[in-house]
Amino acid sequence: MATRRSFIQNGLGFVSLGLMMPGFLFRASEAVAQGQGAPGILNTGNGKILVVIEMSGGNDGLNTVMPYALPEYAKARPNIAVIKDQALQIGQSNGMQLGMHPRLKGLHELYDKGQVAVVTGVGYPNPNRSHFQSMDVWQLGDPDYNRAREGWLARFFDEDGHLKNTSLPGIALGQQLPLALDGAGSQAAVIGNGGDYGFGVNAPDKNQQMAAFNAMYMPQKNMNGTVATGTDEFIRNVGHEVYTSTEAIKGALKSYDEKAGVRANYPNNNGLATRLQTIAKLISGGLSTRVYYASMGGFDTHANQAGSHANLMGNLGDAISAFLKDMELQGRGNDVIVMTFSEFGRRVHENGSQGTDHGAASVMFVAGGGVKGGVYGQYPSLTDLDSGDLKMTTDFRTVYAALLDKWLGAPSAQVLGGQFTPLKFV
Amino acid sequence: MGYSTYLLPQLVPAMPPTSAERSQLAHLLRRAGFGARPSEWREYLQLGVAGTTQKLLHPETVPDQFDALLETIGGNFVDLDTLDGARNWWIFRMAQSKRPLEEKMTLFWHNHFATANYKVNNPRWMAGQIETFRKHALGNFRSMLLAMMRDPAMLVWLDGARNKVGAPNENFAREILELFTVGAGNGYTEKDIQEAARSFTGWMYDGNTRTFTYNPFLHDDGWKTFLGRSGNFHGDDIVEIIAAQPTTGRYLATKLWKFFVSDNVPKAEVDRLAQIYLKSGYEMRPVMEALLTSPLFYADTARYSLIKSPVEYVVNAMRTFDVPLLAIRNLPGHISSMGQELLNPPDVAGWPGGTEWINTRTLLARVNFSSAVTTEMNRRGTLAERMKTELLVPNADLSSPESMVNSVWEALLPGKPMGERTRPALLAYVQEGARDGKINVNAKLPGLTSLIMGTPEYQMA
Repeated sequence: MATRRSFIQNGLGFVSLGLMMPGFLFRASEAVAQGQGAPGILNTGNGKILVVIEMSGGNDGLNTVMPYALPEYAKARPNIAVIKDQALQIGQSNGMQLGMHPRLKGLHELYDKGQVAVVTGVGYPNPNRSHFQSMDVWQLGDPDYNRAREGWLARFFDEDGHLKNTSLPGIALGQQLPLALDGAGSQAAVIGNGGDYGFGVNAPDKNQQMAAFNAMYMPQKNMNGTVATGTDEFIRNVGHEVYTSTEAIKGALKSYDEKAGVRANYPNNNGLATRLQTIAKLISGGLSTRVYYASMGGFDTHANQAGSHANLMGNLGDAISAFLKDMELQGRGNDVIVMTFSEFGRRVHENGSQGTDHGAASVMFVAGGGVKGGVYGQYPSLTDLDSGDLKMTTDFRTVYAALLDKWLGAPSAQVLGGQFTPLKFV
Repeated sequence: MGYSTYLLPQLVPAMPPTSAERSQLAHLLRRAGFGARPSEWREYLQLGVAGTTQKLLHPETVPDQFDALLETIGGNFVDLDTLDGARNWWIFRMAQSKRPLEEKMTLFWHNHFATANYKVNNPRWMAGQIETFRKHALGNFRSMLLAMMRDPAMLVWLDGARNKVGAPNENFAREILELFTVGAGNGYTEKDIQEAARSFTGWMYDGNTRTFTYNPFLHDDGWKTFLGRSGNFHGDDIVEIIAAQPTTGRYLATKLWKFFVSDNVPKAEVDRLAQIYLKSGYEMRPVMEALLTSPLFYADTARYSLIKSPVEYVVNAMRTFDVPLLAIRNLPGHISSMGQELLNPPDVAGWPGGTEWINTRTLLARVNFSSAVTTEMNRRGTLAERMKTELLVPNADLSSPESMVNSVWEALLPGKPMGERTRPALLAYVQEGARDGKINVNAKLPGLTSLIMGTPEYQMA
């Protein structure tokens, strides 16, 4: 998952882009120079925002949204099938009655309000069943590895004219920058849990040290006009981002309406909910950030999956519904869309350990006030399988295309390197 | 030197002036270890590069006094039944080890056979797996594979113990091929995975005794065909076939090269190491000897070309300044916030490493850790003293800003050029507050040290 490394090694991109520094940093320093306030803070805040939730490990789509009444479903999964009358009904696809996992209660309520698009049979041609390679495909938005190793959202930052004068186009929670946000021209900040994102220098001459840090992390390009490359310089650019973004994040976190947060009723002991609440704080704090990224793990359910998958579903549904409630209370309900994805679904037939092995097509949720709810795509047949796996009916790039064209306002054909007919959920 | 020196570090004579050999040794010790402790320099300089290399390759010649050390500092705080306890136990060992290559290889194997406690949910088993890595660190790879396939943490991690006749679980077989041995796309098929899975059926672990057991009633006794060979295979037969694949040798050689030498992997070197692997009957020591004595290991393009992993960053700092084990609280937490949860790799592929280590969050965590170390050592009154008596060259000139910055830089980053943005920033910091051109060396040393540890240059190994 190393875009930057491959860029450094191959020298791709730098020649044509002309610089290694993340574009938004230059924009941010220009904005500061022009007296436009602290980097990262946008005064208007009318941009549409996408929140991406990565479900890593390969979510069992067939137990997330299931054709609960189909005899083949129960037969393929004698130990782990969702019981017919517990499924939360959502309508039909491809002649099958569909239901959500019973623990997706929060999400199902939003579905009933018309705020959730359930995209079925999502995948890509010639599915790869390796976690790592398939995750790369989703993050790159490119099953054929035809393009430079740059994430689809990083490419969006470059293609979107709106982002020219903003900073911090993308923010990821956690410790790692996801490949989707990783690229040479435009970069995202990774902020831990948000609250712990700040300098911890505890020395009497802290201010002098901070000034020295800022000076030594000024990108080298400004100094002699030549383009500096190499790993040292890559690190220098990240350090510059650290300096500018910590202040912006701290400021945004302060302006959150805590009361609305309490009314949104975020569940306890739910890591995803905590991360989404931090995102809610940053959004209501007025950051100009267009894309947020949070992940949850544990979906690689090879064994005894019934209980663990149910808990994952509960955490997912409760977190999303509290977050969207919060956004509504903060007056941003129509500005934010949540999209979930996983690297693949799982095999139709359960294995000998009451779990499931790696599969292919799965489901995605797209939720928010701006979404036209309903079931999209054709639910795949449970009898016409590809090596035991559901066949893809909906290319995941048609979901990306809809979000790029209709929500984020970026040309999807350029970002995705080809024309994909956007699904009509926005 | 006994372990007790650790608590009351003796001041050893300062090291000789910077030389090409010291710079070369520093490179060897950073890569094949976690950097030297001040008290070790004299011996390494006496041994020279060739002698040090041999000493690193033969850890069995150096007594391991770690358990005794733990006892002297009250070893019972290392509770192997908690995850942070198990992490501390290992971090302390890395910081103290007198067998640095053995410990570095152990870290390599942890990343290679990446197993995570978030699924195993048994820190003691995780620690047991680390002990196994250490035992085979420079040993035979087939023995390592056989041990891993009987390792309780590994069996839980890849659902190997749930693999039974008629209902094989492919996870174990798939990852062994894809990530541990021949590598993805290197000439095996989905059918090979299924056949290997059948061969592993019946392999179990006993949760009480923490041992591997084999249940013949759950084993698939049928005929299997795997990588072009057929037989009534058991798990050990599969291991035998996999270990003997030339692709396995090349896959290991590539990973070792990237971990120890450079991201640029010359095909000729991979082929050479892979040959040694096969000819020696899968022994790692001759492979590592060939790697560490390769002229390319010392090439200018290799030096300071790898980004330190968080574990390396932290352990290196601990060793460089001889930081007492309990001086910095929550070492595992520091390492985690730099993006490396020890004993919890993100997935079975391990940590991707390289530039992936550096993002806004993780770089900030490195800077904050450096500040914590230098502040604490300064508070204890040992930083300036240790710097002057052990790290700087004898009679180092600290009188002018230029000479002070250069001297401290050379002590911490021997042979590494200072970036053109870095130099003026450090100079300005040292100059600030100077009276009549005189700098307050003791007041500036901690901050300068911390800032150097926070430079882009210092992130490189």
